[in-house]
Amino acid sequence: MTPRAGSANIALLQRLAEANATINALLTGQIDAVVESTGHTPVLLAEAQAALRSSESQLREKTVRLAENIERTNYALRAARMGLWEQDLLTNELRWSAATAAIFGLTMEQTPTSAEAFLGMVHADDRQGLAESLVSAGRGGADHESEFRVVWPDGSTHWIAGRATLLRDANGAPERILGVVSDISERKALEAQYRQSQKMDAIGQLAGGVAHDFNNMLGVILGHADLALLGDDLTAAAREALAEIRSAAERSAALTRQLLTFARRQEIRPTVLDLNAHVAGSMKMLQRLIGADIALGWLPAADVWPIRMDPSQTDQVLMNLCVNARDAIADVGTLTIATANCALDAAFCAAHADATEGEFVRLTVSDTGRGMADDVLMHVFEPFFTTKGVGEGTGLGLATVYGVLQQNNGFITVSSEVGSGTTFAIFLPRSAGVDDSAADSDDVSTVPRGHETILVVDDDPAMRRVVTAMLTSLGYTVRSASGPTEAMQLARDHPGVFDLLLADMVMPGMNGRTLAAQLPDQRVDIKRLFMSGFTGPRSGELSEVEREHSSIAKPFALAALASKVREVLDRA
Amino acid sequence: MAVRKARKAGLRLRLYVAGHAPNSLRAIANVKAVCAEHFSAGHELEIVDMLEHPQRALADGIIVSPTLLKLRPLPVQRLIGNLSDTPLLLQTLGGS
Repeated sequence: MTPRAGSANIALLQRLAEANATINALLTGQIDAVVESTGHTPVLLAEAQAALRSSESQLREKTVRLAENIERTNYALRAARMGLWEQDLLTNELRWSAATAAIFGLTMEQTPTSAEAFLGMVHADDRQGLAESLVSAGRGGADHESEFRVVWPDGSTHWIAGRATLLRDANGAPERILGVVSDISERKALEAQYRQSQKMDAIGQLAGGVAHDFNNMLGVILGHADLALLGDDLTAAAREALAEIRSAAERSAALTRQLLTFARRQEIRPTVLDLNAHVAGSMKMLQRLIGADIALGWLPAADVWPIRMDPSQTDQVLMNLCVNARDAIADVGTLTIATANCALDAAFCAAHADATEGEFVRLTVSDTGRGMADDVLMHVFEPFFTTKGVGEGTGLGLATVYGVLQQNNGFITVSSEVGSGTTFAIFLPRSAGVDDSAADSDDVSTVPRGHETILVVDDDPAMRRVVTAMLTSLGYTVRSASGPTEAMQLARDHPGVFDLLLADMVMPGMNGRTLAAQLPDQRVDIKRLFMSGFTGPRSGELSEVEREHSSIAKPFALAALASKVREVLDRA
Repeated sequence: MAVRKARKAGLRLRLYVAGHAPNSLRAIANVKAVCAEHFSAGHELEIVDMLEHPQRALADGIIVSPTLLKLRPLPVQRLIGNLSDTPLLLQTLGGS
C-alpha cells in the first residue's frame, strides 16, 4: 500500500464517516440548512419542511375537495334520479353508471358496450331520431337532447329523457360524449292524463253546445206529438205513428241528457244519501240488467260515509258500469260491487291526475270478464269510443260516468288485465250532511189545466209556437214574444195582468231572470217559470231553490209542462 | 501535557451556521462553552452564516448547517450537528 493510496483511503473513510454523521444529524433533527451545489442561498430545512408540509396539506385538501365534489355530483345525480354514461368516439366503447343501468332495467353485466347495442334497446319508432341526434352531437353539432322510449327486458316500456355533450381532446378533436339519462315515464303519464282531460273538456263544451239546440228541436217534436195525440179523430195508425215519434223523441232526449251530463251541463238535484242503502235497493234491478248467467256480489263496508249526489245520477253510474261489466263477460262470470271509506293522501293523488286529497267513499265494480289492453284503457272514458258493435252501445256510457263524477267532485279509476277482468273504482267525496232523500212526489196521473194568462218568451220560433199550442190546449190564455224587448212592449200594451211569465233561461240580449225583474208589470211579484236547455254558465244566475222550483228542463212533454205550470201558479 | 497545551493554543475553528436557526444557535453556544472551559488559553473561532456566504460554505465543502470545521491543528476535521455531544466535541477538538 503506497502512502498516497493510504491517505486517499483515509480521506475516503473520513468522508464516509462525515456522511454518516450528516445522516445521523439529519435524523436526530440537528440540521438547520442545506447548501445547494449551485451555490445559491442554502435552503433552510425548516422552511423546506414547512413548504413540504403545506404542499402536502394542499394536496390532501385538493384530494378531499375532489372527493367531495365527486360525492356531491353523485348525490345530485341520485337526487335527480339520473344516470351517467359516456361514449368513447375513437373506440365506440360505451360506459354506463349503475344508475343508468337501473334506468334501463338492466344489471351492470347486461349493459350494452357499444352504441349499436344500446340503440337496439330503444323503441323502434324513436331509434332513428335518437341515433341522428347522438351522431350530430358527436360531430360537434348541438348538444344532444331527446326523449325516447326503451323496452325493458320484462317487456315494459319506459320513457327516458337524455342529454349529452361532446368533450374534445387537447387538440380540439371530438373525443367522447358525456351524457345523463332519467326515467320520465311518470311525467309522461301525467302529461297524457292532462291531455286526456283537456280533450274531454273540449268535447264536453262541444256536446253542450249541440245539446242546447238539439233540446229545443226535441221539445218541438215532443210537444207537437203530444198535441197531436190529444186529437179525438186520430186513426189507430196515426196514433201509433205519433206514439213512435214521441218515444223516439224521448229516447233522443235521454241521449242528450247523457251528453249534457258528460258536458257537466245537466240539471242535477243532489241530495245527501247513503250509498250502501242506495246500492242495496238497486240490486234486484241490476241483477235483471246483467242476466242470470252472471253472479252479482255485494260487499258493503260497514258505516260507509254519506255522500252528496243526485240519486238518479247514482243509478246511472251504477247501471253504466254494470252494463259494461256484463258486456265484458262472455258467458258466465262474477260481477262484484263493493263500497269502502278511504282517506286519499298525496301519494295517491300523484298517481291519479283527477284525484284530490281527502275523505272519499269508494264504490268498486269488478268483473271477471275479458279485460282491456292498454290502448283500449287509454280511450275508455272518451265519448263515442266503443268496443261494442254498431247498435250495441252508444260509446257514451263511461264518458257519462266520468262526467257525473266530475260534476260531483269525484273521480274514477280503472285497472284491467287482459283475460282476468276489470275493476272500475269511483270515488265520491264524503258529505258532512245527513241523509235527506225524502220520497219525491209521485207523478200526477191526470194533466192539470187552467185559465190564467201566460206570457211566453223564447227566441226559438218553433219552440215558442209549440209551447203556446201546448198551453192553449191546456186552457190557458197565451201571449208570446220572441225576446225581452217584445215582451216588455206586450206587457205595456196588455190590458189585463199576466199571471205567469214562462221564459227561456238563455236568450240573446237578456236572460229570463233579468227580463222578469224589468217587466213593467202591475204586479211586481209576477210568477215566473224558466225553461232551460242546459245548466250553462249563465244559468248559474239562478239560485238552487229557483232551479228546483222555478225551472223546467227542455225538452219537456205536455204532462210535465202542465203540472209544472200549475205548481208555480198555485204556489202562494 | 505541556505540548498538548501548546497545541490547544493553536486551535482554529470555523462554525458554519444558518442565521438564527435553533440548531445553529445551540451549536454556537455549545462550541463557545467548550472553548471557554477547555481552550481558554487561546483559540480562534470564526462563525460563518452560510445564508449570507453560501460560496464560502461551498468552497469549504460544507453541505449542511451547523457544521464545525476544525482547521488547526491538522488534520482538518468536521463535526456535524448542534454539537450537544460534548465528549465527541472535546475529542474532535483534541481536548481530553
